[in-house]
Amino acid sequence: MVGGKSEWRELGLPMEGTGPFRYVAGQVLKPVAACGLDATAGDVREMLRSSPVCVVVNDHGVVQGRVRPKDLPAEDDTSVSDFMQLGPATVQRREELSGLVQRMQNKGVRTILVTTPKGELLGMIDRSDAERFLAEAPTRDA
Amino acid sequence: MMPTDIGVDEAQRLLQEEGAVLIEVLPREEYEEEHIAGADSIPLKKLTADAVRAIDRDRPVIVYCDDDL
Repeated sequence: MVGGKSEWRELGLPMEGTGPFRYVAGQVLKPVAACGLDATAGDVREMLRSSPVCVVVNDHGVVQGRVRPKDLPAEDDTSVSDFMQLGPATVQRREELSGLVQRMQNKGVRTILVTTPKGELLGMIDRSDAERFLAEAPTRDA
Repeated sequence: MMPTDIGVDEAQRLLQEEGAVLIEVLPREEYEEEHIAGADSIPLKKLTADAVRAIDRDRPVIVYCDDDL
């Protein structure tokens, strides 16, 4: 079945199991700067003043790439498609939070993008936010 | 019968109208944590001829994992 368990869950259809889990969705999911494929380095540089990362999406909001400050070229007129990092790791919002944080810690990842099952950008998880959330409220749902 | 890709809408129809069998092929622990209501578990690594022999072949069989992959 195309879309699998993830899409079924996203659509709110009946699930069973030993949950509940503390999911990525909720208080630790936050907005992230995003631009289209027609953006330039100058556009992205401006966005990165208020966000640790700028996500590049297509016309359907599907994640195409990611830019961090270190990826920016010197020339402001360079197209984002020339310097964005392709295929950034993403997770879905119903991913269990503590397991995700553990994996991020193991790999030294500080932020990760959250998408729908179709790859549409929903936001970002900052590991430090998630760690704080789990430490402060170990039993509540995210 | 050849396998066919279907979406969630068609899966729901097959379940409701034709009594389809729903099989999750993810590892057993993932199935136990969360699975589509009514699904059975046959982890991919255990998906052998013996494992599927008990499945009712007169009903549609829907196999799924976590996403499109």
